[in-house]
Amino acid sequence: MSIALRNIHKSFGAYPALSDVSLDVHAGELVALLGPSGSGKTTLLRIIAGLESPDPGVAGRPEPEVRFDGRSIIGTSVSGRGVGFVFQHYALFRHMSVCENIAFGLRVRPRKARPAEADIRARVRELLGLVQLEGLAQRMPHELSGGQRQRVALARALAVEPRVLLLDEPFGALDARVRADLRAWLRSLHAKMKVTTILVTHDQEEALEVADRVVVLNKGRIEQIGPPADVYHAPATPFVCTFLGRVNIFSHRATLGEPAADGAGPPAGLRYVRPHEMDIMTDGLDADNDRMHGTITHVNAAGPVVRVELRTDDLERVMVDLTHERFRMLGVARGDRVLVAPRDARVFQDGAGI
Amino acid sequence: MGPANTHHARESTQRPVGGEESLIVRCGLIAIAIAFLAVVLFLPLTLVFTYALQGGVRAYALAVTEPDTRSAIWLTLLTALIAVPINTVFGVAAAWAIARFEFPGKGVLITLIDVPFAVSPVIAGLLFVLLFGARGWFGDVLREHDVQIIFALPGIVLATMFVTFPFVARELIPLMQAQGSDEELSAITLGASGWQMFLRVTLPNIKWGLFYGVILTTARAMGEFGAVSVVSGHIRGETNTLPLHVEVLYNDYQMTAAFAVASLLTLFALATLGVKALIEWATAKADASESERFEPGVQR
Repeated sequence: MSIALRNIHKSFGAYPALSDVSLDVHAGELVALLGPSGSGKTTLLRIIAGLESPDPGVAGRPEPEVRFDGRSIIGTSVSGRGVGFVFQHYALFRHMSVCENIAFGLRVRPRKARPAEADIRARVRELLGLVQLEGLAQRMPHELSGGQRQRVALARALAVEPRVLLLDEPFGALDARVRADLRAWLRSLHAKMKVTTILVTHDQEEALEVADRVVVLNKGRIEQIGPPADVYHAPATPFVCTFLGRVNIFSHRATLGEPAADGAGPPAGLRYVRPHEMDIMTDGLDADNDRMHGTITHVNAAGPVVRVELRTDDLERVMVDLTHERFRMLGVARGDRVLVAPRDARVFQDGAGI
Repeated sequence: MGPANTHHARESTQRPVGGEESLIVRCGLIAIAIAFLAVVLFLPLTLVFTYALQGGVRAYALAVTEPDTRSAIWLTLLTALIAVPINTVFGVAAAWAIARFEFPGKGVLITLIDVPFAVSPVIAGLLFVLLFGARGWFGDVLREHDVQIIFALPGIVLATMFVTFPFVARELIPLMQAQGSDEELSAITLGASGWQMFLRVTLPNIKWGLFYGVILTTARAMGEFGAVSVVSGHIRGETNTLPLHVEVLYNDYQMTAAFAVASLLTLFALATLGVKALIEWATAKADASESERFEPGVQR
C-alpha cells in the first residue's frame, strides 16, 4: 500500500517538530526516516500511525493530507488504519506469554471477524516460525533477550496483517552485534512479506543498509530523499553530507568552479571531502591549492580500511581512509610528514545550512 | 545489563556499612527500633486484647454481640462497602488522567487529590455539615425533598469517601507513570477498543498497586473517626460506626465493652495488614521476575 503525506506541520507548544513535510512512500517499499534526535522523525511516524495528528491548515497554508492508497485517513482512528507499530522498547504485554502477545490482535477482533481458536493458534505458530522463535511460545517477555523481544513485537504487529509496518528505532536498544544480525533479518523478512515498511532510525549505517530509500530529516524538515547510494555519494545539503558518515570540512582554499573570465573572484565555499576520497603522497611535491602539508598523528589499521589522522600545517585535523594496499605502498607511519590531498570534493556555499 | 546489575547488588550488600565498630552501632540502632515499637505499638495492641478479655470470654462475647455493637459493625462494613468501590473507580480514573494525558489544570488536580491528606478530618466533617446540614447551603432544599444527609448514612459515607479518596490514585499514579503508555498504544494499534485495552492491558499491569490502594482505603474507611464523628450525630444503634461506638462505650465507663469493640477494629486492621503483607510478597515476586523488562535509567 502506498502512503502520501502533504503539508504536514506539527508543533508542540512553540516548538516546531515538523515543518511542511511532504513525502510519498510506494507500495511494498522499505523507507528509512533518518535524522538526529529532535529531527521530527518519530513524530512523523506517529502521525502516519494516527498516534498524533498533524496541525490543521491555517491562512496561507493548505490542510494537511495523509493518504493510504490515495484515500485520506486523517479522520480514521488508530485501530482503523491497519498499521502495525513496533515501539523502540518493544512494549510487549508483560503479563502475557509470547504466544498470547502475538495472538492479541486477533483476539480483540469483534466476534464476527475473530478467527476460530484453532486458526489463531495456527497463525501464531506460523508467525513464530517467521521470526525464528519456535519453541518460545510459552515464555514470558521478561524471559527473552532484547533481540527476541523485538522479534516478538514484530510478529505481534504482523499478526493482524497490517497494510503498513511502522518501526520506531526498532534496534535502538540492542547491542551492536544483535543489531547487525536483525538488520539483515529484517531485510529478508521484508523481501518475503512485501509489506510497505517505514523505519525510524538515528543510525545512518542502519538506514543505508536496510532501506530502499532514505529520507533525511533535520529540525523538522526533509533535507533529502533518495536511494542510499545517492544520499551518501550525492548529498544535497551540508547537513546530509556531515550526518551520513565522516567528512573533512576545509574552510578555505575551496573555489566554486573556475575563476570567471572577467577576472572577478569565484564565490567562496566550504569543501566537504569524505576520508576515503583523500589521498596521501610522499614525493616532494609543493603544497598548492589542493595539496597540504601535514603530520600523521594516528594510524588505525584494524579494520577493512586503514584510518589515518593528520594535522596539517594550518592545524586542521584531516581524516584519511586508505586501502591496506595503498598504505603498505606508501610505507608511512605516525609522526611522518606527508602531503595530503582530496581526490574528490563537494563544495557547499558558505553558511548554506548545517 | 542483567548480570551487571546483580553483580552491583551483591557488591553493595557485601560491603561493610561502617567500620569495625559497626556491630555496636547496628545493635544499638536495632535495640532502639525494637524498644520504640514495643512501647508505641506492641504494648498498646496487647493491652487492647488484655482489657477486652479481662472480664472473661463470656463478657467479651456479650459485648460484641450486643445490638448496638452489631449495628455499628454493620454500619461500618456498609460504609466501607459503598465508599471503597466508588473511590476505587475515582482513583483509577484520576490516576489514568494524570499519568496518561497532558491537560491544563493537571497540577491543580494533583494538589486537590492530596487535600484530604493535608486537611484535618474534623474540618472535612464540618464542611459537609455546612453544605448539607439543617442550616447549611442545601439545607432547605434537602428538607423540602425530605432527604437526610447529615446525621444519617449518606453523610457518613460522604465523609468517609472524602477522607479516603487519595489512597488509590496516589498508589497508581507513580506506577502508571513508570510503566508508560507504550503497551496501551500497542493494544490500540493492534485494533483493541478502549475498553479492551483497559481490561486486557492496563488493569493486569496495575492490579497489585490497585489492590494495595484498595486495602489502604478499606483500612482507613473502617477506622475513620474525626470526619464521621462530626456528621454522624452519635445515635446509638443507628449512626454509630465502630470507632464512634468505642468512644461512646468508653465515655459510659463500660471499659470491657469499649475494649472488646476496639479489639474487633484491631482485628479488622490486623487482617488488612495480613492481606497487605501477602500482596507485597506477591508483588515482590512479580517484580523480581519483571525487573528484567525495565531499561536502565527508567525510574521505578
